[in-house]
Amino acid sequence: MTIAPVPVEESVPGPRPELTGESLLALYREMVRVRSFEEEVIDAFGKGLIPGSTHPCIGAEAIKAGALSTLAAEDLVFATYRGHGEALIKGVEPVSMMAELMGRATGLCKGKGGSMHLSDPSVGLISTNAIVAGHIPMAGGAALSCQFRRTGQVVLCFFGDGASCEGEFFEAMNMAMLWKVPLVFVCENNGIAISVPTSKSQATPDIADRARGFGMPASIVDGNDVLAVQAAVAEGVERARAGGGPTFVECKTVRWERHSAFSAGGSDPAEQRRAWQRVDPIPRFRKALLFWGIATEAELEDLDRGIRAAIRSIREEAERAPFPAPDSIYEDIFAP
Amino acid sequence: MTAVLVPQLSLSMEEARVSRWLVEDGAAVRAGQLVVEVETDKATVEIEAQAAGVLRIVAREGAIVAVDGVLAELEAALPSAASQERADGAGTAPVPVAHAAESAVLAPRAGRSGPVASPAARRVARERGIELAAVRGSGPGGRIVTRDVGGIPAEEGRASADGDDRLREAVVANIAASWQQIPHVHIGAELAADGVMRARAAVAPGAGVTVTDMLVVALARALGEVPELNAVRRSDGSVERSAAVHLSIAVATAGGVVAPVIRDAGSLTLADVARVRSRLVEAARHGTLDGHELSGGTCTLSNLGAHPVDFFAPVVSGPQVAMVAAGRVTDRPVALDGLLGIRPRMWVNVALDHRAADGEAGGRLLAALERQFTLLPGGTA
Amino acid sequence: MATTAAPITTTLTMSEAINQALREALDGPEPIMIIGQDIGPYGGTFGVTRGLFEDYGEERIRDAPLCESGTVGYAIGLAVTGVRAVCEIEFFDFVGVAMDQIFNQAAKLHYFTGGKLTVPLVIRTPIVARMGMGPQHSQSLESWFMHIPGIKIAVPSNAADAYGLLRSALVDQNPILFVENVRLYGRRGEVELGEAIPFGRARIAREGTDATVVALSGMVDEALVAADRLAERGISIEVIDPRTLAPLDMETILDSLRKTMRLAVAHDAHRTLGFGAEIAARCMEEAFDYLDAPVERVACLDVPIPCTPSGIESVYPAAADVVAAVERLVA
Repeated sequence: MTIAPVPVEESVPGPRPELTGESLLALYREMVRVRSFEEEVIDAFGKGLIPGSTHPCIGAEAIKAGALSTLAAEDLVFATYRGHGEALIKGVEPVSMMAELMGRATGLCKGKGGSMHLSDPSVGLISTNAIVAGHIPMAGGAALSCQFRRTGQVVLCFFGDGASCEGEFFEAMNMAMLWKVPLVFVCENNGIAISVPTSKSQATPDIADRARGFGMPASIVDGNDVLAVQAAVAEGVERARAGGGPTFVECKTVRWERHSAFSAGGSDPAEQRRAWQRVDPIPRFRKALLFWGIATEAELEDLDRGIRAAIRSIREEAERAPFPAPDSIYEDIFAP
Repeated sequence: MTAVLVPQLSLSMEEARVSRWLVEDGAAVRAGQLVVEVETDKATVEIEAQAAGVLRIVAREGAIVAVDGVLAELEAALPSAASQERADGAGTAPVPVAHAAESAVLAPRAGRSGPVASPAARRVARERGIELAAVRGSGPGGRIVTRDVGGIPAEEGRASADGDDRLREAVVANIAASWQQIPHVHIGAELAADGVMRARAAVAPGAGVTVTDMLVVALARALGEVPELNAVRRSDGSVERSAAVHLSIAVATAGGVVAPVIRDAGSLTLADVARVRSRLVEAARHGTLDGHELSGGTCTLSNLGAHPVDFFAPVVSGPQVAMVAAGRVTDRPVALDGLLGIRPRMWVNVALDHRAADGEAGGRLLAALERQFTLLPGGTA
Repeated sequence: MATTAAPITTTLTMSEAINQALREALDGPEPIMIIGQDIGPYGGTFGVTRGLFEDYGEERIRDAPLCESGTVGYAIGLAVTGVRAVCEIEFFDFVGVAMDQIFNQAAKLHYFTGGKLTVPLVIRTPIVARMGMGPQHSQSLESWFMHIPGIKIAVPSNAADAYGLLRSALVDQNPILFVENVRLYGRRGEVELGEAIPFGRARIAREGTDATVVALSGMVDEALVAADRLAERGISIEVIDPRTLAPLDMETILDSLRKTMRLAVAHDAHRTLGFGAEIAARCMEEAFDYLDAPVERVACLDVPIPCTPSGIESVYPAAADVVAAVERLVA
């Protein structure tokens, strides 16, 4: 079965969910926060402030916000190099995060990791990783650790369709199911891995089928419906916390127009932009919030403006941060 | 592209004048071919091309070029067989051998002249002032290794027995090399030793001044008058004279003869010499001489006068140019003003490296020495 | 055996010594999991983890499915979240399958997180040289890992060092490759229980004056046999066992070189870019004026390792090759 994200103009909000206005607005706020941050990052990259490359998650905010809203503070998250959204929502301090992207000494990882290697165990963001699927077995091991130590923690592991073709992905799923570790696999299937569409790389269109092959409970949702994501992941989190083992949630979405800020677009960047904008989760949720009377147009615009302003000053503050001392390259090779 | 450079022919050398090009500009030369004559303050030397190639003259005749400066450039005429192999090498399967072949040892390189020696041997030789050119290498392919230059100096903590053996080996190696390479000429005379006997009589009992000490003083001063015999010969044939006289004295020890050096002997008094000589002989007999004390000599004195030896012909200690051999002082009948008299006489033999000095210089040294005997102090300091 | 306060000296095989060190860690307060193929009830392919499953249970002594990459990845996940992990890779040759997790993840996590994550992970794996198992089951690959900053490497050659180094490894907060040797597993030696051996300290296995031989793992014994043979000819060699390649005790090696002025390296790894290549380069860089001869390398030939006994004999180095190398050094 194939599910695709519903275009904004065709989306019809369902009945008002049994969630508080506050929690609904919180979801919206996080999506806008991530969007603003990524837009700021793209701008900074264009101005040469961010070395290397960076992989914005624009268009996939609903997956991050929806999934992460199901976690408790002590739960753990692993993500890919397209992990700014996960980091921000999990609670990484945004100035230090922006400073990290800019390679500054006061960055989250002292400027050593940059955009692709974020880590803040104090808020449960263990690692974002630059090797596709490299973090997936680690997430499994972290979940095994929570089980071993009987902490009741749950681990979310975010990854894309590209990772679902790597061997380590299968190894990790097998072990997760074998040992029933408290792990939820959140697969962001945006239909393309750098330049290769999933129609050319996947033998079957639905990645969830692979999890089912290991006997793992799996579901497929419209990844741009933040509440659908939230519901599917919540089910997995509950199962995990109860000791029921791992769950697989495949979220269908559409990728931002380029793989990274560094990449050239594909053959038709304008069409790619139209494609993700057509199904943009933020205006879609806004439409629902307005429909349910959770907030007015003006209030939402105020919220947007406030968040953008806050992100803008975060970026400016990060730009003023110092660069690391040259000798710092020798630090942290080994732990004492 | 390689170059023909001005070699460092002596420690004090700073530059050379291009005297004469032996080949034309643009000529094809072989590796090892002599291509240019240069003059230093001490000698005229011919320099060879290190590699085959087409010679492009950089320094014209008459030019003054600093040590290591470029005299000419050598363009490779054709790719050598070796570089061709390297170019092809990418696809060649490496030969699975457990170690590099012996043939990898380099042949002695010309130009920046010097024998093949291991880095360690070079260091030890440098520290000891041993001229590598005078050393025969016993390592693979004739490489000079540390045992050829006396092994590791005592202060580096090796067992002294090993050190003694290695020192002996180095001494033996030097003697053998000197015997084989140096064309000796011996100039001998029976000298009037009156001055020596007077000086001996004037020495206070217990002052520890010996005939050897007197010979040291006299010879050091005599060499001041015949500086061409206070010199070492470089491997390129140039003779480097020394301003000061650093006199090696042959000392017999249980392990064989060693030759510690009395530095700047020409400026020492008889008492000074006695003190220094005594300390060195003691150290020699105990095997505790260090490298510095065994190196840097510019001439050697060997005194067998304690034995019933009148005359002997020693082996010059390369790279020194001369060795002076003294026999015993003994009373002999001599003709004095037409009458027969008895006088103390000493046979002295000057052995020379005939490549670096002529017999005439030996004669002059004997004359100077005999005169210095008369100038020995009638009383000690 | 529980940990004891006062040191006890006992005779153990290298395999038993490793087992003992693992037990002491399992008895300690820190959460620890041992994970790998066949390490549970089977006791490990070479029997090193024998008895642990019975004594410590299946949660802590965990057989993993046959997936080295995923297994090392899981071990890293354990390590970064507070559970010390000891991961066994059955044959050194199989590290290739887990390479990304080892060199890109474990070795670098502490660095690129600016010190936020630590990876207390020990990867144990044996060199299975000279057993006739063929090209894919015979290699010594430790030099690959010397090339990667961020991973420590231990190569014990005897029971005491295996025990002492593993004890250190099991309290280290860093990823460690612990290279064992199937040929040495059965060798007995005196082991001082309770004593950890710090990384970065070489052992002078035999003192000598004429040449230095730096030997690794199985070649240490071969070098000592060579030393006896050479002694009969009046040549005295100093045998140094570095014990750890990262950190590496180069000072002990250089001190020896300055004393003997001749050095050979002996290892089971291939000659090209084996450990000996690094030692030769450093000797040249740091003690050029003390080299009386070029550094010799006694190593496995640069060929895939054959199965046939005569092939193995010709490919791997032995005491005779150490003797020949020393003779070339002193020639």
